[in-house]
Amino acid sequence: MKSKDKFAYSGMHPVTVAFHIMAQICLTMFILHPVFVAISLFISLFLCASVVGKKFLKELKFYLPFYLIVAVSNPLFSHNGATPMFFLNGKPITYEALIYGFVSSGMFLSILLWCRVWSAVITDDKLLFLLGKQFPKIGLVLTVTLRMIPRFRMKWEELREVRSTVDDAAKKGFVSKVKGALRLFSALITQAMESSMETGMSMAARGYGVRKRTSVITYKFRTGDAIFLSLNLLLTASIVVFVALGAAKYDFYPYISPVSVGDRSIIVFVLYAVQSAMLLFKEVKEEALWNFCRSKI
Amino acid sequence: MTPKAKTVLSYLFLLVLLPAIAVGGYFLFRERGYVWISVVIAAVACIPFFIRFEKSTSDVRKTVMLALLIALSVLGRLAFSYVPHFKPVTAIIILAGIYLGAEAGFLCGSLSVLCSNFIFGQGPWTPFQMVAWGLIGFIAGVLSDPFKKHVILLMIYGVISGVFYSLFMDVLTVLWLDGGFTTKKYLAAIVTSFPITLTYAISNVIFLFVLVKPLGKKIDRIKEKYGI
Repeated sequence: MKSKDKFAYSGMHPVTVAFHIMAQICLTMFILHPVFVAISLFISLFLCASVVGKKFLKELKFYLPFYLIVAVSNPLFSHNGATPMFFLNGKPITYEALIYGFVSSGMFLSILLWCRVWSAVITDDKLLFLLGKQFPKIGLVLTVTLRMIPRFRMKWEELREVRSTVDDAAKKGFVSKVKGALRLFSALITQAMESSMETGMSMAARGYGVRKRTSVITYKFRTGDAIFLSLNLLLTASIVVFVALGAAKYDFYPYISPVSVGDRSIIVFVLYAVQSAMLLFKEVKEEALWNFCRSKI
Repeated sequence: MTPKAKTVLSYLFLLVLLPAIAVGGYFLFRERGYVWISVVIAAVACIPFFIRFEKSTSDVRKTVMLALLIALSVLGRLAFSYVPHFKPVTAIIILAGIYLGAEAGFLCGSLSVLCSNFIFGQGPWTPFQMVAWGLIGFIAGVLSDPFKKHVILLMIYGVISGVFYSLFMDVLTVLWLDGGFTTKKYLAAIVTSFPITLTYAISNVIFLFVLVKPLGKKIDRIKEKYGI
């Protein structure tokens, strides 16, 4: 198991990584074309496996049934299409609707996987960094909130333990349990409110809001980031232009249109594959470099 | 540039941005356009509230108080994660709106979603939930006086906000499943999600009933004690 900071993305600037994933999510979201969906789905699967690690195998058990259910449910509700395969309750189950179901479900799944990559890669401290410049106050609220959640849980345990020495331990039954929980909750809120006031006053006393806030964590925007980001921008822009010119036009109804592999389509497929795999390339490269360097020691 | 001019400019920017997204999205991506447009518009719709909050020079203590209520609603969502759709989140957001003001209500709603989705998973639904819960908190703040006076109005609002949330999220469901939006599909989605809508409404009423007195009283007490 490699530690978190050995991943390629952790050395990159958050803006670079966030832009890449956002662009990828947007592109995946609105290009409903079997080849595009397949590329996005496979690359997001590999990336998830690489970034999330072994835990991802367990998560797949949730994702795969989800994929099948969404895919198969489409022909049950949508009866468009010209090629009925069989009839169910007098309604045609069409080949086109089935294919549409598989493709659109693939798109849905790959968006979920890209979001999974996002939450593994853009950790909350990175999100705060991203928000910090434009929205310092909201960044502060989020920071304080994220700190309060574990603190409340600890405090709850503490209060519960103290309370258990005072309360009649023999008291059981649903009502008295709920009453006890409410009493604890009330104590927790009072305590939390008082302490939050103290936090606020202490912050004011230390000069919060007098000047612009600075961040403890600083990320440097290196040459590598500049190359990655500009390549990413270029690819995204060219894909959008190609799509706008109709390179990804694809009809499911009434007939499935054939996947054309003309000059223009093949270019945009390759561009899209490169765009999707940028982070994966970087990851594999760093991994290889790491193994290579380690073998020399 | 004066701060005021900057604010005006940022609102103008939004006024141009929203139609630009809608029109541009439609012309570029006709087939899957609707989902994309609606998700992005939902995300952009939150920005004016955030800008307003950034510009306001409110007390730090009020900001921390807001963070506290957000943390409470996230914990509430966590604590009740085993009971599907039965959550105290909406109730806490409504109370935040009533006792801390409309703006704080919106922020409490939208940021609760952002924070708790770190645990429950971010996705295209995040901006939609942010707007839905944000608006619930905002409206509660606008109508805070009648709600404080008459508990029955508050309970009715709890039911309305549960129904509103469900109807709002059904729009996204319809858009996701089949690209286009038709009234027929929307009605079908509403009928399918009826038990969920009912659970939302009931849970809102129950949690509002349980929380309004202790939480409201405590917030009022703190506000008086520290003079916020």
